[in-house]
Amino acid sequence: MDIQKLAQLARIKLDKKERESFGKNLESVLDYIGKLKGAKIDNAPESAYILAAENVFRPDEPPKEPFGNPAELLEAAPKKERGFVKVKKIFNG
Amino acid sequence: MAKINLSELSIAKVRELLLSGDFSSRELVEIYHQQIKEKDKDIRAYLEIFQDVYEQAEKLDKRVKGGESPKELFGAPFAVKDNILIKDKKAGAASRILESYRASYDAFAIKKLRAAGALFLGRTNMDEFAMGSSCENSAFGPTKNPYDLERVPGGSSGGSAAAVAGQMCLAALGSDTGGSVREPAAFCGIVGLKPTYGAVSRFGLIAMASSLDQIGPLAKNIDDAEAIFNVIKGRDPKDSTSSDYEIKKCGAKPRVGVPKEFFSLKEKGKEGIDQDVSAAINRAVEIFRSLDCEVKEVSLPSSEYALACYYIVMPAEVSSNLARYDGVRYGRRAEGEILEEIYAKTRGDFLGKEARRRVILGTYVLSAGYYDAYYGRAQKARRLIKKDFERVFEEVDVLLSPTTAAPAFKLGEKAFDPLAMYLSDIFTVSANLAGVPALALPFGRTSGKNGEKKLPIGIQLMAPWFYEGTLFETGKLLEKNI
Repeated sequence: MDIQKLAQLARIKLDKKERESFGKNLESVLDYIGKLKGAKIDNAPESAYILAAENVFRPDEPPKEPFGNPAELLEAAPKKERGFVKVKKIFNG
Repeated sequence: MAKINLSELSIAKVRELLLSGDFSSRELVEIYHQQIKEKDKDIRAYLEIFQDVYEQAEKLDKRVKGGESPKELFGAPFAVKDNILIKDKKAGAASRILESYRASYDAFAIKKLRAAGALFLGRTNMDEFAMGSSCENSAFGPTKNPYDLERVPGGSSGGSAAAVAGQMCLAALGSDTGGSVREPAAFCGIVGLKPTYGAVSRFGLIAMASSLDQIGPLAKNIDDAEAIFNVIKGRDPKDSTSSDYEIKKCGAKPRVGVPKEFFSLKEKGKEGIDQDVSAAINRAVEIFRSLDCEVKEVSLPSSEYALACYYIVMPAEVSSNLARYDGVRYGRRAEGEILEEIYAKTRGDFLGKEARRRVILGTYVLSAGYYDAYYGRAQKARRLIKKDFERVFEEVDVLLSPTTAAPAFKLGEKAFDPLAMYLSDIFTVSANLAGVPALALPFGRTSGKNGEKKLPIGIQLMAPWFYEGTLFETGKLLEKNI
């Protein structure tokens, strides 16, 4: 298990000590969940859904009530400017 | 003002008292605030007490005096888990990453409670992002079990359970993904319900694992849990997995099944179930038999894989649901030169250890090359687990089992061994995986050997999808005859 690579994929910065301790914790968990490898389940269909449900659509019209107030929702952002959420540049240079 | 014995209160009793004019909602809230002041410095169930509840109580009193007919939960003071949004109140799932976040809207369940006349006393402590079985993963320190302050109240809805058990609210809302309402209910000696998946809208619940999460009530008795469930359930256009299925119940004499695999579970060399918990199950069986209900052994063969399946499916969904905590639209943001650095530092610095662990585990089981071995197989196992329940519910109406293998453990006992902590969920996860409703009800205390305090024991009932009625009726049968 390459903790460094996983941390990068998950966009989480871990220090060296944590990389090691997480590695240990997760190895023991993987060991446990590896039980499934031996289970007789090859013929079962995968089940993503718990309830037999049909997809739900709404009419292609403006919704009757607005979801929320954009100004209120923007309140929560740590940095904003002129009605936009402000973030750092994506690339260097 | 006459004295009230808080432990005798129930939703019906509160309604009666308020309508008779013996008390006003405001006075009742004052009494609860006094109780919180006395008890919560030791128990630490609450993260915040809402001061505006007096104003809300007064408004409620005025409206009813003015002739408005009082609704089902009139004046009922609730505690709300920190992952359920109440508009304009802070909500943070007990995480530092959401420390300053204020909810921009009400959760559907909150809207429904409000409309039914309920009042909100405050938000309760929990394991961060609902990850944990003890409340020790909160970024703000653990809550203690009101029955023994050296023990955990359970988790992740530990604060809510402790608030109810400590008489610091009349009832509470929690959320259950793998047992997070039922396990603390069992540890704190109260009733906890995990509804059928889809019975209660998840809109406004900070998501952990979207195919497993449900909001559920924690209450002092089954009538209260039922009353709350009836208010919060129902189709919500903002949660397309919610539905208006009719809630059903079985006949007067439930056929009871006892899953044999649950009683031969051996994990990590630890033998099955605590003596006192076994004795409680046996007593429940005796009660059913004395009431002329059939009790038989049934089999759920795939329960052997339920916990492993859960600890693949849940972290996978967690890794997806927690991706939104990137410091951009809400919560705290760390400093950095470019965006990717901000993401990594924000999440590295402000997400707790267990949250980071599970995101990484989830990332792993979903990653290229490992998906089939882990997540793909877990989805198949899940299908089989569900099928087992379908089959068993053709023979019986309700399943009886322990909620946990043992009563509340000591603070720190499992905190450093994630796997040991995960094993506490062994009896509860199947219900979330299959989507069936499950009820934890208090069933006596431990015998208190070696001078230990006598701790609550909770047993668990499970019923078919949308048969919460069976849980309530069967539970009341036991409650009456305990």
